[in-house]
Amino acid sequence: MQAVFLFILIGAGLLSGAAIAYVIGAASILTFILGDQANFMAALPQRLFSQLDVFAFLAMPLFIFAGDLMNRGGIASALIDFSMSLLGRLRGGLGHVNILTSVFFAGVSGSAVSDAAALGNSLVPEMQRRGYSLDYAVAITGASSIIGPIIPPSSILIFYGALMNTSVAALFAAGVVPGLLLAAMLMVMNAFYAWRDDHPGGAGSQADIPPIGKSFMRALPAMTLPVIILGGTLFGVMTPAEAAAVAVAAALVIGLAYRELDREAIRQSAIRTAVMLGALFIILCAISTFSYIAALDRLPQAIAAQITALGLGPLQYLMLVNVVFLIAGMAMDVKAAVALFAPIFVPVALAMGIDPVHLGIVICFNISTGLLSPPIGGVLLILATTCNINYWRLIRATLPFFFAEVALLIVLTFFPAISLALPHALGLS
Amino acid sequence: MAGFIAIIALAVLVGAVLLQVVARYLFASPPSWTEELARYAMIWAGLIGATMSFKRRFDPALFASDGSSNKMMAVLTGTIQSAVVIIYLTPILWFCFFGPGNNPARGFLLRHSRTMTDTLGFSTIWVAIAVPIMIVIILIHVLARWAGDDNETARSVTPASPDSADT
Amino acid sequence: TEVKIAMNGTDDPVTNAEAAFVHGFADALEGTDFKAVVFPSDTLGSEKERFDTTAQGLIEIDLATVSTGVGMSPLLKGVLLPFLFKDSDEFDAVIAKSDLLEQMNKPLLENGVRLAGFNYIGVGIGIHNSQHAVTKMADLKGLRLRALNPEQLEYEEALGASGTIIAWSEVANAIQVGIADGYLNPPNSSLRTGHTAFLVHFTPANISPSTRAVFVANDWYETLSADEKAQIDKALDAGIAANRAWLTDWSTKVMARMKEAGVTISQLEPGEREKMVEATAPTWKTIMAPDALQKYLDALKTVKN
Ligand code: NA
Ligand code: NA
Repeated sequence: MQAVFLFILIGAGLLSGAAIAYVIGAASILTFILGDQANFMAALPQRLFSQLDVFAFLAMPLFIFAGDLMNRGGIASALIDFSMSLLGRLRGGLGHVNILTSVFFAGVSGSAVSDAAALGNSLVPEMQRRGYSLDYAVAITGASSIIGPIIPPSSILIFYGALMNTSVAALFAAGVVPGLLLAAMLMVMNAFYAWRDDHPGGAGSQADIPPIGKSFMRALPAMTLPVIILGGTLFGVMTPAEAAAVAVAAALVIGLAYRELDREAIRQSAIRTAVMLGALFIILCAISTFSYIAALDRLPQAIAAQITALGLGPLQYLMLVNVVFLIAGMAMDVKAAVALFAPIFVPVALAMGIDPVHLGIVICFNISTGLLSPPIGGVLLILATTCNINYWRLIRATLPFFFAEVALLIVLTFFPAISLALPHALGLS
Repeated sequence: MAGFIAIIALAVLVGAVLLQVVARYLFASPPSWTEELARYAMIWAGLIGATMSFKRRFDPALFASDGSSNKMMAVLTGTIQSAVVIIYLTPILWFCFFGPGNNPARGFLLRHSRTMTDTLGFSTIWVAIAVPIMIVIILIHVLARWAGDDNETARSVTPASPDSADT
Repeated sequence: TEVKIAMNGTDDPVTNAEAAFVHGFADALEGTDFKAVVFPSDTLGSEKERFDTTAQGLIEIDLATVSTGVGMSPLLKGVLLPFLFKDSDEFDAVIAKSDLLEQMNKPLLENGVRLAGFNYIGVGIGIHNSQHAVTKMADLKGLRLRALNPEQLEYEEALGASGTIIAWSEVANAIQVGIADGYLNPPNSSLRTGHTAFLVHFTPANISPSTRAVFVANDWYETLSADEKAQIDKALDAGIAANRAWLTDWSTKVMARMKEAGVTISQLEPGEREKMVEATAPTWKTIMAPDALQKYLDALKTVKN
């Protein structure tokens, strides 16, 4: 009876358009009251406070801030020009440029959504002008934006590291090879589509390809950032949070040097960072409320017992985790999905001897791929808005890339060495 | 005002972490308070940011709340939207001031007033107080929505606004 | 009725000393109306949060790090002072024969928490490092040790090492890339986490007992009848006894385990621990208020006589 009532409440809340965080929060509160545990609500203010008072979260607002400053500071256009001068001559050249730009962009930003927003605004119109279909231009932009959170820095990896007490530096190192592998796979697919659908590019279309020397010099400041961030964290000069703060300072300096940032732009950027952090925090608050009632009712133990009873081996278990996160990623906000499911599934995985860093990469890759999946992929939504394309048409165009990325996810699941070789070589895990 | 507080908190956060890097390499031992200060600035920035995110309808939702031309429907969805916020936040606000059994001696804020920060030399109540402040501001925004504050923003922004997923 | 016990470790009495307490406690409640229910692995929240919910009477028993209580009861800091106690037996004797526990409890009780006693999680804190064998205080020179908090930083420097504060989740990374060369912890910290792979030198030094606190929700405790209080007190004693039995067993095995893990054990040369005591004693006064420190010194005097 209570379950039915709660189910109706959650359904009505979500259908009404209320934010997921408040629906989860309200449902949890009613569970306290209906379950005769109202007294325990007295713990909630502190619960919420402790959930946010976490050292490892510090890197998150700082990387969001740095990424936003760089977007406003003209860094995206500098990176596009440089990619053009490298790959613009090939058949399907702008498709390759799109992917390569995302690789560079990934080194400065932790976010697929900001990559998609930046390139959707700039590169998609350019691709259309040169004769690509809108569908393809938007699809390749979305598919390659997923490189953003895989190659470090990555807000999902920071989030996972903080929640699961795993070294963020090791997770960062583990993301490099899978991210490059994803880029390579997308370039192969792009070359195939360029050949099959006769995309523009190739000899004779060199008119407005920027000279390599000049574009390199312009992109150089932007490309020193990944060196600071990656070098700093992987070789132990700085913690991820410190690297993020340095990235903020560097983005300010570079943006001012490009003459694209002014007082108002910096103010806007700070406001936007606070809003994004706030949206994240309220989700964390709601999750902390939900997980408290779940812990009191010993739900994680019950789920773990159920899973143990299935008698899965580590690989089968990883595939189960993949299915859970893929489904979660289809319906939920990325961080909400990680916050809700990681604490339930990860401890069981660790008990099975699965490497926490490998698991982090699998979950991060999985949940990032979810940004491309219907019904509510975050990257798809922003591209549909910025590029003014019908949402379902966009999903159709993106689907082959989505399936390819799921296939790569399975490869990463079965071959931990792809992720772990680099952190092992650097002595990080 | 909220924006101003958030900017200050963010500036403190950036400054404290930068100071930590600089100090690590300039002085033999970095000051021990930078990390704690940064964490508390982050909590302020994030909780005030949560009120801004609410006001701008930036929090991710599963379904868009606009597009309903039916007046009855709009009132119904608006009521549900306000109800979940009030159901969630009111008990938390209450227990900022009272403990179990509504005992004021065990309230969240009073407990914090008796706890010191590790390194900064003031009581943690100066951080904890951001929680009730956030709740009160959000509840004011809920009231303001019914007072008609919301007309333009509701239409211009898709509630499932993907920007909110910083991934 | 249920007695909720919240802890940060796993509920495994073979490898976890606090789990040994839990099972000793639970067994002693057999035949009463109480039933112990354990919430392991931080399921009811992190250290600060569990302490706070205990203060509200929502968790009946919290197995906690001592430092969570320091903010309310500064006298607790003495438990963490470097080289104040010779070993865990001396610490137990000080607590048993002085009124320190009562005094520590005074500000805690006002806030709804009762410190019932202490658990050990292993043998005393020693020196782990990745660089070289430490047998003399002078060997610490040039080592950069991870510090847990400003107090530890201070005494690491007093020992002639340098220190740097690093969050526990980044410790493995920091040591492997050279931000730090080691840390001060009981040997089970490195065994449990696998840090033994790179922290290949260990020196037992008994810097301080590896103590954790048993906090009881006083608001709940005060609602119990005299009979019920007696049952709970008895169970607490049984839990602490089980913890000490675990420790005795563990101390016979731990060095062999460390060697198995490839760690070189180096003993301090005669007179070196005394040098360390002398070097760090001045930090006691900066870490703690003088009158509070004096209470410990007085208690130690009665034990030593
Ligand atoms: Na990235
Ligand atoms: Na791209």
